[in-house]
Amino acid sequence: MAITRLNYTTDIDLGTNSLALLLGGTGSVNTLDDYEEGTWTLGLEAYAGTVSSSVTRYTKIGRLVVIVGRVNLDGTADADDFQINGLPFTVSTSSSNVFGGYPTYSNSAQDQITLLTSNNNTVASVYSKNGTALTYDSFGASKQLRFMLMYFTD
Amino acid sequence: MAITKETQIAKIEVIGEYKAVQIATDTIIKENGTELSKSRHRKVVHPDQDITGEDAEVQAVCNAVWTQAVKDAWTAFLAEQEN
Repeated sequence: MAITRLNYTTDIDLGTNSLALLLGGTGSVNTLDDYEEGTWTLGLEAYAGTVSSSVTRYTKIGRLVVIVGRVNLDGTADADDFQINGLPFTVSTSSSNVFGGYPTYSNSAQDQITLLTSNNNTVASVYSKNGTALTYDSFGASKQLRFMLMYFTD
Repeated sequence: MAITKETQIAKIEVIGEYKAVQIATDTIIKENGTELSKSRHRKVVHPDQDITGEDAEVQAVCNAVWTQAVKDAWTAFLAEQEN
């Protein structure tokens, strides 16, 4: 049965029984079967210091995950690669589906900072221009990164 | 008028070849038993992580799916990603 118009003034609860919305067609490419929003816990891989501040949110629409976060490095020296962990969903298996994001604000002296996720994992690495992996030290002690990151799940 | 706060695990999902365990935890605020608000928090644990602080239900799932073969495969995958 085709419903041509919905006129509800309350939420429509599709429940958790694999119900989905078909939008603009009837194939799998037109199916919206998941929506969720919430918070996640940002961590720093192998960081010797303390994550002094973080604000984290996510929204998942179908397979697409959009996350935002804010992290402040403390003054601890650490030559390990700058990697953010704790992403709220596992990144897609395929390395060809690995994408990333960008800072919305940073007071680091580094230029053209980008973020790249790792397939099959919940980690995003931080890079500078020319694809150079940044370390915590090269990003800068006591510097802040606010970012947006987008990736696909399977 | 009683305001209560409940935390409950909404979902435990096992994902992929390396059996990542995705956990969704809901915090629910109720007034006299009626839900006022609900918020969700997500985390993922991998086979090399310490799960002693996780909920018993999560630990049971992890222990069931993280066989030695899975742990070894995850370790090899991480080493491969670093190269």
